[in-house]
Amino acid sequence: MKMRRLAYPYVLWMAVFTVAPLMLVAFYALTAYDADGRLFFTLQGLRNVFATDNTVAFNLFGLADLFGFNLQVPIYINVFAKSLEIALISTVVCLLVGYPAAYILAQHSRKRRGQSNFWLFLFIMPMWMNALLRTYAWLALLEPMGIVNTVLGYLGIGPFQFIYNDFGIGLGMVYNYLPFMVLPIHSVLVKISPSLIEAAEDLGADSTRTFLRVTFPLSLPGILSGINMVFMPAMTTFLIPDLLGGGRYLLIGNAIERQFMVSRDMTTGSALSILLMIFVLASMRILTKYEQESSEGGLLA
Amino acid sequence: MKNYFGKNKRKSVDVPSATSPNRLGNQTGPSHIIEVIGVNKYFGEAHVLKDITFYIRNNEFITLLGPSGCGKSTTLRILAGFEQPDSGDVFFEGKTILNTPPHQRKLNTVFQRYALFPHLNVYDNVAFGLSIQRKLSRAEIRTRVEQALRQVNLEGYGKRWVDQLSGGQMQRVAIARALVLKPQILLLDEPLGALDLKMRKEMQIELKNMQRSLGITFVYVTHDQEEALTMSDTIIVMKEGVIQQIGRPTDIYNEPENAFVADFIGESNILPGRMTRDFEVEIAGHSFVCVDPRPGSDDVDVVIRPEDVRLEAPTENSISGVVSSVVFKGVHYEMLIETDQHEWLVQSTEKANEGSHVGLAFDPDEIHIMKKSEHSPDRQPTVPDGDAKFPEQSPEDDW
Repeated sequence: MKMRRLAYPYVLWMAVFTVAPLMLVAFYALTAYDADGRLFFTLQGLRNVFATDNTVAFNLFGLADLFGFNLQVPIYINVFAKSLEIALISTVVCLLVGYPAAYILAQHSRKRRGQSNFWLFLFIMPMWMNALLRTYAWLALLEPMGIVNTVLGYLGIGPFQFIYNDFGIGLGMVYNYLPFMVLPIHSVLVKISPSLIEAAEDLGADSTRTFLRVTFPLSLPGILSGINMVFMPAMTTFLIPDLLGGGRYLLIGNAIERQFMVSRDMTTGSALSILLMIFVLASMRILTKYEQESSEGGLLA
Repeated sequence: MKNYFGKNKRKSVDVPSATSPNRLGNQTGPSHIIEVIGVNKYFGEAHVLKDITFYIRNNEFITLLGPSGCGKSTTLRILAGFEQPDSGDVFFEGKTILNTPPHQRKLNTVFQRYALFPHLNVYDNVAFGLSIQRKLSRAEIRTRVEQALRQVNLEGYGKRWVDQLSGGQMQRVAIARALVLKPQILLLDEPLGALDLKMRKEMQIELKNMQRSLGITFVYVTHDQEEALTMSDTIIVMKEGVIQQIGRPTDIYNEPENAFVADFIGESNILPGRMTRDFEVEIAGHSFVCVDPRPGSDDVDVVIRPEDVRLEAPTENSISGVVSSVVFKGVHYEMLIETDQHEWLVQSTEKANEGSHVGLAFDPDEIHIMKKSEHSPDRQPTVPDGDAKFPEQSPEDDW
């Protein structure tokens, strides 16, 4: 009973700062003000999202180009698809870069058990700086007349268009979200008992097979939560596409921001938010389901 | 096996010693499946294995016994290939295996904490080694896994997850996982350490039976002297990285090489003695006939096991003292007898009254003479107590 009473402040906190805002967003999504300033129920916001009067060619991952079909979709659906594309690619790149990094860091921490890991610290440290600042720094580095292009110019190469395109946004996302991939994978890897690795070797597995059959499957929970932690912000961010996309780039985060800040259309903005939230929650749900299945063997125990 | 037991006093032949460098050259033969020669190992500054030399016969149950930190596990890890010695060599059937990585060695390990794969069920854990080989069909693997599970009495447990098993069951899975590969040698690193006393006793007998029926060489690591005495054909007693004695359980118990072995293996009365000639030793001012010759120096250590001491009415010629405590231990009484120089531990089925004056008697062949060593009890002889001296032992490790 005592424990339950201790939970009350948190329940209150969540009610005020999570549940109430969510309900407000849902409320805004389904209402609008008429000319007289009266509130009325409407599905116009949702309708706007799926409006077919303004369509563009759907080209997720360049599939349309590849297979030569022409599918016209509502503009917001295309923005959704574009966001999904960039978020997925960034997540995959984070995983490809982050896993080996986490692996090497884990080997390192294991060798010096009990001591703080300097390299892991270096990995985390950028997270202590303001995200805006970090992203501006990339602008300075990568802009057409920026440091990288200047150096490349001395070498007789370039200039390259690094920013204001998919590459720039993807780079920004990978850079910003990589620690969120590395940390959970690292913390799972260091917990794998060395005797499991030795057991695999003892049973005849060389280092490659030990990795594929033991280390990798055991690190899946870390991979899944890493994917969670990267995909979610990558899907919803507006800061990175705003800066590194040069403001010309429309991802779902920017679309929502503009509905509120530029068009002042709270109804459509809220409808977009709700749909995005449902989409992200659904994808997380699928991932956690996998996570639960793979951890049934006592992985997290 | 017959030959083996027929051979008397193996210890006097086999104890590695710097004075007989040719021993190994003479004894190399097909019956020695493993030979460890002059192995040294350092962990940083710590010299954890000091010139370890021994051999393992085919099909024997050999136990590395010693208190924690004596280097027994490190020795096992060197055999498995998880550690490399800093000097010395390890031969498997006459060929060095130091350059063979663990996954290519023909021996398998049962790990201290089982090290079962938590992401696999019991069946897949046992099948792991076979499926790695990629030589067998699914059906063959199934047959062998089921056979291995039957061997350890876990038939029908294949679909269980390892975290749904009890300690004893996990232990069996770990054994099945190693045995399914039909290794020539099974290495066991304190495999029963995490089990309760009853389960441990059962598993001791099961392991011994398994070893006999499979005809596999078992190399067993433990700090539990009773376990070692129960199961082993040969025991290697280690302390601080040095082999103290190699021998059959009866040799180790009845004829300990030095005070450490006498103290570690069972309870004993270790007393300073003087020998001026063969077959006669002076203990606590009294002269006794014994069966051992003079070891070369006058000062010796004498071991008399508590169950070998008889209590009699005191006479002028016997060591005598006062019974200071009597504890009933089930099968016997354990009594402490206070004499002038020493507190004797005596185990007997006959009870003496506390405070009574008794004499101590023992037969000549119960007196074991040892050379003085660094392990000798100094001026104040002590009554050995396994608990106090080896704190890693849990109370149930005691007899």
